[in-house]
Amino acid sequence: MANRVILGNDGSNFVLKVSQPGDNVLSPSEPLIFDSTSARTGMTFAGGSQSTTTGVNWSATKGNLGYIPLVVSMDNAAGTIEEYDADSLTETYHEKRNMTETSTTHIIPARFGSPSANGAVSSSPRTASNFKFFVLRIPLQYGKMNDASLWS
Amino acid sequence: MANRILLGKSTNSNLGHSSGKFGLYISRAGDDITNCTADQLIFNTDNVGSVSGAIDLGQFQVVPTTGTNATASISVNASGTATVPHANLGTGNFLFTNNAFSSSNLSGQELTSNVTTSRSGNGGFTGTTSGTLSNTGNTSATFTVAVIRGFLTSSLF
Repeated sequence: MANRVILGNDGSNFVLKVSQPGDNVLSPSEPLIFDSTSARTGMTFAGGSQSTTTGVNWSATKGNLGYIPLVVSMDNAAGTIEEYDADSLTETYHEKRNMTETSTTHIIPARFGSPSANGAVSSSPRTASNFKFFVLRIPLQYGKMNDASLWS
Repeated sequence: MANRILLGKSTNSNLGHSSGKFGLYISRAGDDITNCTADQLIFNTDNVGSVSGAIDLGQFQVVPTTGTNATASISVNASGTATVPHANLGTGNFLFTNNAFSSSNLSGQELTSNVTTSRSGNGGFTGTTSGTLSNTGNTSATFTVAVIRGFLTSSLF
């Protein structure tokens, strides 16, 4: 059986490391399941599901992180659509139809449209069906993706 | 060197532990686990979900589909469904799929009427060993699917 957990001195630092099943944590050949020498891990801060929604405020019960986080989401529109209008002889193609906008408190299903004055697309919200999301404790915001915010 | 790993009783008031709380807490390099903030934690075992004092739900993990494979390629007919098997790491897992497909290039055809081609997929929260992926579009498609480890729905926001 492989050594899978180190809690203590690894020879140079005090650490907690956990390897994958069958992989020796002392000389791992696969990414570790947990490594305390990393500055951030993918901790799931919040999540939820809605049968239909135009936006979810997770901060109402969870609070907020002080930055716009990375959010992973899915809904029925996760894909592409291509349309041909024979009257106007116009073809349109749209990827990532399940796109969303996120803020420090909300995730909002959105779609491409004529941008508002500031270039945001939130002027074109949409209703998402079978919507699911996880909020990760990882910044995804201009000014927060630097050493001071990410690591220090 | 900062204290980074605490296994036992924490009294860190910044984590709401002024009265003492037992668990395993790990801060990131340079941050003292005895007085760090929640965002400076890289691991904790506190309450989860919407209960008082909750910080995180748990770790973000990918559940293997087969063996140690992180993804699977699943073909689904238009408006059809397919089963996505995965390792048993509990319920509430989340099927995540790519959402970009190549265009069918309708502009290369001589079309005389309106045409809509859509490829999109979604999956519900899964059971312990498999989930169902639905093609919500009108054209068959092959999806690359990853299974993200879930949590009890009662623990979500």
